[in-house]
Amino acid sequence: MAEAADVELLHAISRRDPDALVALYDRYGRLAFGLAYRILGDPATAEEVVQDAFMRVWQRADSFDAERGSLRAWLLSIVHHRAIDQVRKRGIHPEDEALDPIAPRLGVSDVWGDVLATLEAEQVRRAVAELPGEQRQAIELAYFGGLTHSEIAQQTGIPLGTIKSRLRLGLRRLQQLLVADTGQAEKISGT
Amino acid sequence: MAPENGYDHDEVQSLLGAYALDALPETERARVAEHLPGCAACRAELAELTGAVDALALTVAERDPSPELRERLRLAAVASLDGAAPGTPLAGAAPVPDAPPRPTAQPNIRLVANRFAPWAIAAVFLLFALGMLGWNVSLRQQVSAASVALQTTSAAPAARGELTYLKGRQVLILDVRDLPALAPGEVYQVWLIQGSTPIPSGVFAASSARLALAADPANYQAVAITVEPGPLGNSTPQGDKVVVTPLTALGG
Repeated sequence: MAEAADVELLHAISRRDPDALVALYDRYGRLAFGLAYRILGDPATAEEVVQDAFMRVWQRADSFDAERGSLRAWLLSIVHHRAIDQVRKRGIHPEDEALDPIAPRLGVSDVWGDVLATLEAEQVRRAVAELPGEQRQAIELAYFGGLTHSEIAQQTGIPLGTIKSRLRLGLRRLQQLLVADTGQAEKISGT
Repeated sequence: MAPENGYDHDEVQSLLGAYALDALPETERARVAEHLPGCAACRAELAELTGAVDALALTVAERDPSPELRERLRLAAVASLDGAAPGTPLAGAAPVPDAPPRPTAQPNIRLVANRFAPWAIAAVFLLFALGMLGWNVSLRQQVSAASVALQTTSAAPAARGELTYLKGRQVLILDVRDLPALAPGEVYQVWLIQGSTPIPSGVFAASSARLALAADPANYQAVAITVEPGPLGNSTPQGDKVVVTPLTALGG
């Protein structure tokens, strides 16, 4: 099971075994690069971002609590943050550079952590497709485009308050769809 | 609930989606972050929203990076390990065009990985060998290897270390510890002595270092370390010698 193997890899990475880091790369490198490339559209910078993200895992494996979240999700969140960081450096909002891309995740519940670790790409694509179009659009502009909520409001001509709630409600809906799809709904509501 | 920073609970809550997506300008982001430690309800909602954001990464199509990225990553990981430095100067190479330097916790990793182009093939090989040496596998039992103690000079009375030759890989590992602290701007420079010609073979600035040299001792008479001006060292040794070790015992 991928999740159990991830925990072993994480332990080996904590023990400073470079082969374990390369094994992690073999497992998730194509996905990480796919994500960085989707955001940046430039293979050279995307590779830089991917390498940076794996090195961050290498340096910070000790601080990651495998009981609290999925290693894959952590890695990809670092890739995402660094890629968005690069997009923003291309000249929109220098003040956003101060964001810490690896702020520790706050209390993802154990069950939700399990869901995240076992999600399949197809499940997520299906759930995203079920979102109302305007919610999906706002989320994608933020996630893949690196736009802030006010930039999304400007670009779409939709009031900021509406964008805020589309982002929030869209994500909540997405989470519910994913949890329901993985058959974990009862466990989630029971915690 | 306490609007001391100007944001009440409802305002923060309305921003949680944007916060989870990292889509807030810094001032708003900081205010949400301030509110969270005292508000379990917001933390719980944020955990769910963050999970949904994390899942979005899975919707992209997987894509093949260049095949070199895998070895670059291994190289960077090995190079970051304690004392393992490649036997070549890192400074002075061309900057990387596409990626402006960012403040990261490990700037040297980028240097090692990105400034190696001419050395890439050799360095990958060497560091791979070094990497294996450091792990639970005892390479000495698997690969024919021989060691001699370093001979230090009166300029480095406390220094010690050894040279190990991995015959199967033609890699000479220089492991040196407890050299005297350098003055600012100085580096230690390693030399392979061929006949009477010292060949510059890398610099380092720490008092302990482990370097891999692509060298068969049969082709050299000695290894030396001198103190030279940094960051690149000299083309011929000018400074004080701290180590001079003949390679005869290793086949030199």
